[in-house]
Amino acid sequence: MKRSYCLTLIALILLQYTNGWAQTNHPDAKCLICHGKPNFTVTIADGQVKSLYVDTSLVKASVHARWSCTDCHAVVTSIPHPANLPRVECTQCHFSGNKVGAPQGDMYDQYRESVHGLASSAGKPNAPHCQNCHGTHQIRRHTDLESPISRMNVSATCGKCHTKESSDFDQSIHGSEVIKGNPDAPICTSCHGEHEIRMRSDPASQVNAANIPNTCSACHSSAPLMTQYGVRTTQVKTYEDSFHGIAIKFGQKQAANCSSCHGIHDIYPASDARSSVNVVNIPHTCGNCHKDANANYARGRIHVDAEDPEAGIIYYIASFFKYLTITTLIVLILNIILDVRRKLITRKKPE
Amino acid sequence: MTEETVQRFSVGWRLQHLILALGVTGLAASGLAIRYYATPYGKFVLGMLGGISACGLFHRIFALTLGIATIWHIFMILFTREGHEDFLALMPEKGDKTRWLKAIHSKLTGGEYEAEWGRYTFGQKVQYWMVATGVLLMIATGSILLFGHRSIAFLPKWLVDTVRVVHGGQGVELMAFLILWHLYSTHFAPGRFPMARSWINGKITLSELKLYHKREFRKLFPNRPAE
Repeated sequence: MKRSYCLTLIALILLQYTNGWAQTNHPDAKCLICHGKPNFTVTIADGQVKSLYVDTSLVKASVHARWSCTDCHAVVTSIPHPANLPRVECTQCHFSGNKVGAPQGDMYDQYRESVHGLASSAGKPNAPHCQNCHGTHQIRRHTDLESPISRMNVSATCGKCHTKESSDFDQSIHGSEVIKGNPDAPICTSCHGEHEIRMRSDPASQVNAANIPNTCSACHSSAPLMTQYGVRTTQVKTYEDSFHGIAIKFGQKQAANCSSCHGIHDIYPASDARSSVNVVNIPHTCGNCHKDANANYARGRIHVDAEDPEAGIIYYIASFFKYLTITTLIVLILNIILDVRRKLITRKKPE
Repeated sequence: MTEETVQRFSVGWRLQHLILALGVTGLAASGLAIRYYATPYGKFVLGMLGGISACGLFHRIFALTLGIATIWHIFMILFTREGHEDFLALMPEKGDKTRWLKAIHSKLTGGEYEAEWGRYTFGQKVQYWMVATGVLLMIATGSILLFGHRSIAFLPKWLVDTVRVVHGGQGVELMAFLILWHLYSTHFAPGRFPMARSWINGKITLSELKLYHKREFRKLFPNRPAE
């Protein structure tokens, strides 16, 4: 009797340590009684079946492994809890100056002022919150390849809402390089920002017409980076010195910026037939603004650098005028010096 | 006692010169601001005029002024006796080259040679032809640029780009030329400063005529000593 009692006690202790959180005193144990069952679902208003199962292995692998369910789902104070719990407020921990070790920074304020944050504040039902991009129970660092915000997954994450943009981007030169794992290739957030994403019409947006040249030139003016891919960095300077570039600088937003010609998400190398700046497509691309655009628009370089010998006749003519003006200045200044000298000599001579 | 003068330029010439000067000055000021928009000068002018579009509009208005002066000039040459004679006087003539080379040699060596010029010195003739051809080139290229992108509908883009380079290059060259030669020789040179007033009253004193245009003096006053 005494022996069987001891065996039962040992078995219970072993069970305690081997049968997971649901069978233990872990603070989440009670939650997992229900949420630990893979077939735990609920039918929501539109008839869709929503899984309420929480895969603990995902939580354990996430950056929040050390936290318990109620640290985030703080409104749950008793079980059973009410249905339709409010969305978890990440700002419970994620605020500037927090003491629990959550990342510090301006991202919380940036989100509030972003197009997503403003939509959320306005009560729009589809407005994305932290969880829509970062995930829920499986939140991982952006350096983790499994994270929805890792370089490789950002397009898909944004594409959950921005379907066409994501699809266009994935096929583009930038997107295809991202898929290949190229760490230099830009992702959605490289151009749009992360938490501070703003409406294109917002002057503070990185993709506002006035800011597009700066946004693109962050990479395209970097000689060490562009040289690796055979892309010229003079394109930025030549654009800035063009009518379009000057007009943009002086606030004429209707003037063409980089994306007006090269496309937005669907950017391809000029040699690609799908590219809007492919020689065949240039009349159509220019025709978006210049109604009379024809094949002449494609007869000549688009980004003309008069200081580059590859500009051909333009380079030689620019050089001709440069040296003609220098010669003119030298000869005429010399003429003035000699003239003044002669007048002074004549004046000094006695009558 | 007021020195005796002769009428050198008629009201028509002076008015035409004034319109030309206004046009060229305005074109140079606005054109340089557009070309060098990022310099303090460019920023100042563009700020004053209200941006690059406004500056472009001023440039076109001054271009119109230059166009009027040019058409008037061609009309005078073709249809007036005065214009025709002056135009012929601006043609290079026999002996110009020799006199000019001697004058340069004298200037370089500090010699005393004074060339005897007719109505116009060789330097004035060069200035006229440089400005005339320069202005015609500026009008031709400017007319293409005036229509902006619409020009590309008729001309290949590389040609329009070339025209833009020619227009800018010739504009700067012309300005350097006008300031360092024309303005210097007629206004700032020793003996001329602050200006030769003939561009205002059209007159030249007999001593100046004798000094700078001795053959013209002899032609106008055959009975007076030229030395």
